[in-house]
Amino acid sequence: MRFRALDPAQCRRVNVALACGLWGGAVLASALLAGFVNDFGHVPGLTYRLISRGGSCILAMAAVGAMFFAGFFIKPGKEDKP
Amino acid sequence: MGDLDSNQDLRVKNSGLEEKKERKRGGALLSGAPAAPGKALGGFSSFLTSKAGVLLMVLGVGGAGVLAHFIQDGTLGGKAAGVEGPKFFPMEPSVRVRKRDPVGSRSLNYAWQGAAADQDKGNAAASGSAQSPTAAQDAVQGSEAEPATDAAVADPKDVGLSSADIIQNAEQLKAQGLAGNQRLGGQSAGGSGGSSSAASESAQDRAAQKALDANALLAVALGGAKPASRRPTAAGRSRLPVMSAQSLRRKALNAKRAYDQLKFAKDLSLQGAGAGAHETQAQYAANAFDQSQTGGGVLQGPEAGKPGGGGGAGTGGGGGGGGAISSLGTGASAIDGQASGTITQCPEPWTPDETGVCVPPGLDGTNVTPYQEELENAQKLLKLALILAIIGIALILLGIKLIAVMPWGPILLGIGAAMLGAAIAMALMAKSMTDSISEKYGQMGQKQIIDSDAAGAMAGIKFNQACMDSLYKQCGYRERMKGSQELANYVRCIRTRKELCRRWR
Repeated sequence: MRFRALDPAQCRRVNVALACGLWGGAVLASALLAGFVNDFGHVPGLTYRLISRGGSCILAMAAVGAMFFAGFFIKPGKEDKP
Repeated sequence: MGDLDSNQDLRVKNSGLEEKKERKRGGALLSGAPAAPGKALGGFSSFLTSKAGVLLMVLGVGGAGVLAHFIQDGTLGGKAAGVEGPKFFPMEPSVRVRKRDPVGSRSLNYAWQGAAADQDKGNAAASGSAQSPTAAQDAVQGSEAEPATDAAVADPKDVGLSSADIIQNAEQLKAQGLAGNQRLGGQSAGGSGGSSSAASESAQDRAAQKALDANALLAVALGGAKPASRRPTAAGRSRLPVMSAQSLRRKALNAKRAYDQLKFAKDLSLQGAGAGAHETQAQYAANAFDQSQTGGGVLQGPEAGKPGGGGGAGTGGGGGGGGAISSLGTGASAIDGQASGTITQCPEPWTPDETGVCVPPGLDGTNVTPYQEELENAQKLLKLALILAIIGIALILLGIKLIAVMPWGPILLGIGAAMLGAAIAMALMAKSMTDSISEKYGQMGQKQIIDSDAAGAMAGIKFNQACMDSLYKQCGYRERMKGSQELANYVRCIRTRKELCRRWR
């Protein structure tokens, strides 16, 4: 998707920021997941659910961050300034 | 013409200025509104970059912060820390008082004596009026000349006054106008005329009323006491009890005794209500009726050789010279709730606390739902995810707005994205927890079906429990059914096998 208000430099910054944010969110979510697993580890079945679903969510966020980083979603709509 | 042309030019210029102003005004809210469908995103982004967009984003971030603050305090959606739940104490009094006879209870004895005295006075007045049925008429007829000579009104010997004193008092009252002597005299003249003519009932009523007025006068003249105002009935006017000053004084004394006893009983009842132990409360309640105090205090005597001795061990609250009452005794509770003795046994649901006072069991209740903690944690997680998502979206919008203006715009964008991603992960974790709960404790469907069969059970239909248990193993659980087709098959399975379970019995 091209954005007319963004030149390539701005678009690059946006993509990097979003990718880093999603990766950071994945790290944060993994930390939360570890905490919840530790808290509810005694509950049978919950650990497996948390690891499976939470882990898949974290992986998905990391993958989407990689796609942002590659500029797959946000593309510049303006030309570079001469 | 030249002026006209210049005016037209001026109007044209003014219209162009107004058009610019209108555009500028509209641009405050929707600057660069999309002229074509393809420019919709550009219009939205320009709205976000406008003043209103920035204001909205700042408000959103602030509101999210406030929500996060409340979530952190635990005051949003849940009870605040330190707030106790409702307590459902029984409404009926827990202190039981045995039935008492009037001899053993002083308060009832007072009441019984007062009632007996009133009854005796009433009987005496009735007998007196029966012996002289025309006493009232005599009093009316003789009120002008001898207002205090009626024997049925009062006995002057009881109060030690002579007839001359009585007459003098009545004459003073007449002079002060308190008795309305003129009115009484005129009506007595009319009343005497009526009684002499035919002694009709209405004339007798008027005469009885006047006799009562004369009695009131005389009572005031005798002792200065205010007589009770009574409206006589038509049937019993001639038999109304008349109170003497002595009886009034006796009645006032009884009333004072009863009032003092009531105050004493009230104090004891308050002490009983503040007592900790059940038995102590019962003892204080009994004291309120018996006008006695809990005994058993230990009087500690003074040390040997000290002056003012003489106190020793004793019971009851009696004080000796120089001694000091240390406590009320074993089993009796002090007013401040501290037990003076050691309570060895409390009533069944009550337990002694660290001070030895029996306290009722905690009524806060214990949550016996096994998955309650997990459910609350999942709810908290979901709320936190919601807050994180709101803040993340706001930061993303703010970063997009500031990315072309400030160098740290992408940082805000990244933080917002991280928050949004964490919120998504937390929401998924919360859903995992709730799914786990419904699978582990997924007997709610069974409970619902059993509850729905309660009507049939009341009608005499019973199901084989083992059969019903196998039913759910064969048909599955309602929570696991996904889609309408599975649910319909489940319901059909349950109904069919439930019939089988009923037939097996």
